[in-house]
Amino acid sequence: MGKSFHCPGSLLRKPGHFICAFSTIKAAPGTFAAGAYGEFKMLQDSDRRGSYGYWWLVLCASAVICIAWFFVPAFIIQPFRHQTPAALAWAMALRQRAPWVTLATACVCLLFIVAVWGGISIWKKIVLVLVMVPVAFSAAMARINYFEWMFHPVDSAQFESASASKLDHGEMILAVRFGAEARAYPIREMAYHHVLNDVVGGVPIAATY
Amino acid sequence: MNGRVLHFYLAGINNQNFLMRDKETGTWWQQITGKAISGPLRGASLELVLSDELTFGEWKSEVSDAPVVAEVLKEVPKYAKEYDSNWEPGVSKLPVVISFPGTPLKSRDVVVGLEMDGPGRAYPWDTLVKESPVVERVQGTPLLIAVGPDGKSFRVFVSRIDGKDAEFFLKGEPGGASEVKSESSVKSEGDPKSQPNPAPPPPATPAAAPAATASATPSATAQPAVASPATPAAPKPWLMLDATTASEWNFQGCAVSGPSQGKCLDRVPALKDYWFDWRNYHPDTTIYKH
Repeated sequence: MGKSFHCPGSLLRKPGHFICAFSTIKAAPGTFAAGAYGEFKMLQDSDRRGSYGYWWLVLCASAVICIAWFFVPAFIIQPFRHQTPAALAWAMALRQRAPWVTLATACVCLLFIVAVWGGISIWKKIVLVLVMVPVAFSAAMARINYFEWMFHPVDSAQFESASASKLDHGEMILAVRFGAEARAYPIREMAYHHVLNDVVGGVPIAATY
Repeated sequence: MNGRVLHFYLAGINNQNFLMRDKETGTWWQQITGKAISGPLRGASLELVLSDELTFGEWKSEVSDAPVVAEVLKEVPKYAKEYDSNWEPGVSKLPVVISFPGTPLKSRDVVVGLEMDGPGRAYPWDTLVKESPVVERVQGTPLLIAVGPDGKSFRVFVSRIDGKDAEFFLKGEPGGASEVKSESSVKSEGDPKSQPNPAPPPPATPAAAPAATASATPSATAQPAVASPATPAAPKPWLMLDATTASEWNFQGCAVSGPSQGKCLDRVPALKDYWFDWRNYHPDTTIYKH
């Protein structure tokens, strides 16, 4: 390999030369500088291609993991699709860890893009942007409960007395009674919200339909 | 769970039965079973509380005489347009993702399902409506399954009075607001269940007014007698009779007259479900047949 040297101050590195805080050092054609902050070695182009290749592999792997970690459970847990016990178990395990796995892999992708952005061709930049779109989408959706887009939850349940209710007498309800409190949950509302957390007679319940 | 209050939200679906998660631990729970199937509390079970699925009118008539504060969930205005009182006909047409050919019921047949320390027991709804009240032994326990006066509500009781098995029958001729069955096999007072039923009464709807009877009321003056306006007969209350004490029992399972007056039958939790869903989570379930 080439010689090593110390470079104090901040560094901007481009293929072919690097800049120290106080001077510019030109590398010979076909070589480049690489290393940690402060200490550098002059390396050949072949070494650079090997290092870049490794990081592109890391980018691809991170992108695939991020996208799969969201889309695989989303595909499995669908309303009109049969779920086997094994597939469901996988889907729940992935979904449980999705928020931090997708965040970590998305950050890896982003860091790589920032690191290489200045030194790549326009076509590679387009590819990276196209990769980053589903990665960012997956990382965002892993934190969102999209089931509640279809069936909104009841944030703060309100009740009225039975005598004041305008429900039709033939309307079906779910009813519970604890102690001196009786509650009725119209099925037409429960069929939409699906679950309601409540406290009846001091007992916390989840009414579900 | 273990003294900790959990708050649940809709989180997914598993073969058309919904999954929920709790905010406190992120555990996944299956709605129909109340069991935790994944996550930190996996294997835990929520306690099923006794509840009713009945008409608002029936419930209101019961709570109005009871010393309780009775409240009804108000609709959320911004979602009110999404609510659909007739959603069930639409849902019943949706495809199912799991089915059980070879069983006598169709996937979307409605059943009343219950568990008594063993495999589940399913009562086809149409059969229950025709044969209510149904009394049979399940896992050694005598059960009474009754469809209410509105033809939509149901309850399940342990059919025992003072520790002794009891047989129940629907009291009197069906009529007025109590009659809701289009094909009734209602048993008249004292008829054993196994005997042929009397001719079914004419069809009626839950909201039907009692049959009007015209009567000519003689006037106290010399004026010609004029037929008074038809006075609807008061609807007969829905009551059951037990063959042991001949007491009358209401739809809440409490004796309102007779030697057992004041006593109430023990309730048994049960739920209405589609056959495919009940069968999926109760693979060893048996089906009631007359």
